[in-house]
Amino acid sequence: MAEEGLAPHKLKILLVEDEMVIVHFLSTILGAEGYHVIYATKGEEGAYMAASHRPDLLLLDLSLPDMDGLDVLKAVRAWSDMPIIVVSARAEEREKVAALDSGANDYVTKPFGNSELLARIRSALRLYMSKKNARGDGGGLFSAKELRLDYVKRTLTVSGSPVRLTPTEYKILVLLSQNAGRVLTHDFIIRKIWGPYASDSQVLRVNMANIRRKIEPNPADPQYILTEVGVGYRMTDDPKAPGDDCEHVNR
Amino acid sequence: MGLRGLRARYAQLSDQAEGWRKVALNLGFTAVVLCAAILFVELLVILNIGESSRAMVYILAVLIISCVTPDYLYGLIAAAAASIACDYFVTEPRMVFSFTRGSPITLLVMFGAALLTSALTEQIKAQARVARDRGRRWQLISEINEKLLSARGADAIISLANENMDAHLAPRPIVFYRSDPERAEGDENHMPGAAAADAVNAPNAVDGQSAAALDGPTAAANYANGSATDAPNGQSGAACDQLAVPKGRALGRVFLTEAERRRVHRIFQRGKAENYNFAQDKPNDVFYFPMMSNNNVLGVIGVDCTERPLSQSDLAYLSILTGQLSLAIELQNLSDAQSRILFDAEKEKMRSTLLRSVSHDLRTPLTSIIGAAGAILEQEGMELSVRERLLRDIIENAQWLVRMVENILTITKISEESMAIQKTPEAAEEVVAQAVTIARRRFPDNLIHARVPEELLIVPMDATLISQVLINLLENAAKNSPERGMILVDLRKQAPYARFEISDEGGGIPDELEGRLFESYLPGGEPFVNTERGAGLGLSICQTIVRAHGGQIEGHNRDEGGAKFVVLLPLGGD
Repeated sequence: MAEEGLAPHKLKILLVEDEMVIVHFLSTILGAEGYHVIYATKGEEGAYMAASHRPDLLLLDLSLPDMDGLDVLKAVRAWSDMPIIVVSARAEEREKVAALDSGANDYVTKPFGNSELLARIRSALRLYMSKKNARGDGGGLFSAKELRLDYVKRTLTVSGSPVRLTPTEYKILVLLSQNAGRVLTHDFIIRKIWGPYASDSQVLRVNMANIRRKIEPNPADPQYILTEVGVGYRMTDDPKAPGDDCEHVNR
Repeated sequence: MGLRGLRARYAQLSDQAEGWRKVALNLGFTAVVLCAAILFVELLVILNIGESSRAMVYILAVLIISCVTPDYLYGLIAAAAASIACDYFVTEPRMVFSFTRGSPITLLVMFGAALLTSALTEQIKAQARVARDRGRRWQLISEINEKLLSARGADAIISLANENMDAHLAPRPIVFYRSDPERAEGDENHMPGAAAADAVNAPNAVDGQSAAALDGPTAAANYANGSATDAPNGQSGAACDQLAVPKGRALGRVFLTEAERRRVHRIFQRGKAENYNFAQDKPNDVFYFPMMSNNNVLGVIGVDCTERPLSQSDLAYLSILTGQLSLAIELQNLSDAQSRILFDAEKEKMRSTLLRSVSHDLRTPLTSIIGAAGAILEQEGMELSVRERLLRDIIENAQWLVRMVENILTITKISEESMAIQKTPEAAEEVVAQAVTIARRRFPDNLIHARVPEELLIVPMDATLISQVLINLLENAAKNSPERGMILVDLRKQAPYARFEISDEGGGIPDELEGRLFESYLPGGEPFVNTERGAGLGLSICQTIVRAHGGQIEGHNRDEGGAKFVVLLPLGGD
């Protein structure tokens, strides 16, 4: 599945996970994808290694023997903006929201498909790189599949035809596209769009429903903005036309 | 409030008028009987017969008057008048007041007859009254009993009690505490109580009159939680009779206030009926009757008798009512406890069914995983295609285990406490979209198509659980569908529900399963899941979840072939 060669030198991934079985198979898969994998089985060790090795990405399990993975997350986030993907068996929405709000870039629930995890890793790295390189709005243009969002002209086209958005809808879309591939929690979006004192998630839902009807060919089956029910929304970062990045789990 | 208030006021006014009317009537009767006696005696004189028994006629008249009129007074008046008439009309010389020696004797005899008769009559009347009261009381008991027996649930019992008290004790405001208002858990009672307090005061503010306050307190009584007692008749009766009755004082201002809560709290602790004067300067007296059972106070009824003190019969009524009520509430509590036990048993049954089917269902895929992996490890030189097939089996079985675990987690999430679930308003289409995405990933061999309405449907739900329902239904459809079979998910509004329909083009529901699709096991005790791996369990979980949301789920065969499952969930909003 490794399309483009990711970088001339190997990207380094730090894996913080206490289950050796999982460490084994993840090292194998990630190694085969061309990543350089280092790992820690304890939280404290993990936080320390993140500081000393400066990995390009952190894969973090939440249930660690010595401390809560969330604390490791916060500790690392305090000094670094490296992409952090939480890999956890905790599937409750509030766990996901807590991790995302504490600064995780993504959240993958165990058990996961290998290709799904790889796609999430690529996506997180790509977002990080593009932000790092262009320190701004990714060249003034966002595109995914048939959708083109021009930040300069403030226009949106889907399959070539222009789409009219309200100012709020446009703001939401810009926010999602600038974080394409990443799940943004309801609270995060609301705070960014309506300010710190707004708390009505209903308004966000209504706006999202309107956006879906404007940009999705079939609102029941969204291609661009995917819903994580109870958590938030994620804009696809798939630059190419159809084909879900998670489609091959069973293979 | 208007009509009843007016009626009560009218009753008060007409009470006075009624009194005077009775006096006039009795005096009239006395006069008529005396005149009749005089005329009859005159007739005897004219006919010149019965000379010796003419005085007897007057005695008879006095007897009749004493017997019929309700008071000694009329008998005595009649006796005096009759002896004068006797002196005038009977004793010689006639038609002259002679006041001979015989006159005082006649007078004494007449008085004696009047007193004796009145006393006897009074006694008979009293006995009749007692008998009537007793009869009425029995009638009341049987009436209350009959109603209480047919009442289901504590709320029904209380509202019945309130109606009944309203009818008997009008216009006094009444409050009914089901539980101690000072206890911490009482919070739930406080709020409606506080709301009801307005209802108590409002009518008074408008009317300014005692009688009108009824509707308010009744409402209050319905909201506030409460129960009743045996009121010790004698004591509280005596106390009540001494009350002053201020006219035109606003009622109900004591109910549901801070002071009253403390007071009721004390009664709950002591379990004794008492009255209380809330404002020392104002005679705002309220009587509280605790409802007892085995020294437990089941509730307290408060009656504001500021405007009108309780009579003996009111107290007797309250005593009967509270006695019956405590019985009814005790009975209700027992039956509640019983249904809780039944519910727990049901839950236990569900759990053990789940465990049985789980342990069976886990073994099968685990066996095949261990077997396949072992075969790959042990047999060298295995053909690549065989190896790949075994590996695929391992993945498939493992994935099936994952779904199983998800369903088990779901079940524990619901059945932990009283099937209560945490509902938040969610966009139904988002849940559909997520379920479809997940199902598509899991069953890539099927075409899954989704349709949602133009209107955004917001449904209060636990999104994870409903998503699980849709995934289970999609899994079911995928399993029963041919390769590349079409599965359609259709969401639409069917007020007051959001309607989710999942239809497939598979073989449909077998006849023998129709009607018990959602049972987790068959009557034989053998888990249904045996037949179709996990499907029975999945569907029964769907049903549990949907029911916990107050919705419905059905499965049918489509006319065009294939099956369709419909889930209805109540829409949110007002």
